[in-house]
Amino acid sequence: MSLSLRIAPHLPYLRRFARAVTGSQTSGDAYVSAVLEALIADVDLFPEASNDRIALYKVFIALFDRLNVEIDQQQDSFGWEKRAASNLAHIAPAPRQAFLLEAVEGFSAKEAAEVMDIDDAAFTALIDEATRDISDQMRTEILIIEDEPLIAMDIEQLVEGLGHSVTGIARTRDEALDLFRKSPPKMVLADIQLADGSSGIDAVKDMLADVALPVIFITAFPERLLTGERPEPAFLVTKPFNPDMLKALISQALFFETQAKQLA
Amino acid sequence: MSSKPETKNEPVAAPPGRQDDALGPNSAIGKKLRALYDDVMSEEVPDRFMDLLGRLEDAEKSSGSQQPEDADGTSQDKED
Repeated sequence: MSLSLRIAPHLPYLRRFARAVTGSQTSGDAYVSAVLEALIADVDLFPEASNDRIALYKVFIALFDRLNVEIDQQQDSFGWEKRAASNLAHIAPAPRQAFLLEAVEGFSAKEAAEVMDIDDAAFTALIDEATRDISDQMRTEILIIEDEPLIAMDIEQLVEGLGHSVTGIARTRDEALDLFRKSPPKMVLADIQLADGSSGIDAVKDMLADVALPVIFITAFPERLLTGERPEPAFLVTKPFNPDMLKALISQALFFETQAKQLA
Repeated sequence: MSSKPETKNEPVAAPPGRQDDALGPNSAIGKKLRALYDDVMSEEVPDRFMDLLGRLEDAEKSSGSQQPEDADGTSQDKED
């Protein structure tokens, strides 16, 4: 089979990877074009590898490393994509590639190591570096609005377990706004029905009037969010909550709703 | 002999049964990234890439034909 026929089925995936690794479709495509141009100039550049997809990505990585690209935050990117790109840009190129090969492209660690032309231990080290970089970057201050002390404590432990710090625990809307002004958080976790009959939704609306920050509502009454106007950006977790789900949501909200420079 | 040995040629999609644990606490971010990029990925390859693939095909033919003549790029073997 000809080289172009062998490459063709993998091009959509390479374009996806190039887009993730550069921050936009436009610059990603420029690199994919460069890969094809390089192969046109010298078809023997296509390496032997366990399979064609790995071989194609190998060419891309080799070229990418030589050209040393800065991550790009183009106009053509979606909102989430710009934020993701800005957060990914804080990871050095090699660990960023390793992370994306595994997370987005679904390569096994062994395959990804082959793509990057490094051994398994070196690949694991890159993944560790990427994970550490992301966690460090996401580390932030979180306000908890929750009137039930035991649940508040659970949430506090969970938040601290992720490496974040808690600016305070508020039991009412007034307390929440007070704490919010005293030490401004970068994220809010809010119950809806509060001790004195006040509403976590109102508290959050007041906060979002001044600054944009990600909010996760943790509530046994999700319908109250669905009927009223829902503040944006807001996420919802129903009580009793699954700790892993809440952790995942906190990490996702911080990564996709917040730009690195705001966190710094 | 410049013709390449055929490597295994399975169309490799993202393997479904992979373990996310390797990414540790950030597997949630990885999963979400994959879902978002999957959504915006187009299976359709733009024309300019098809053109490049066509040129690659030509390049391969001329390099594979092993003509010990001047590398002038004049390939007569057009079998479209």
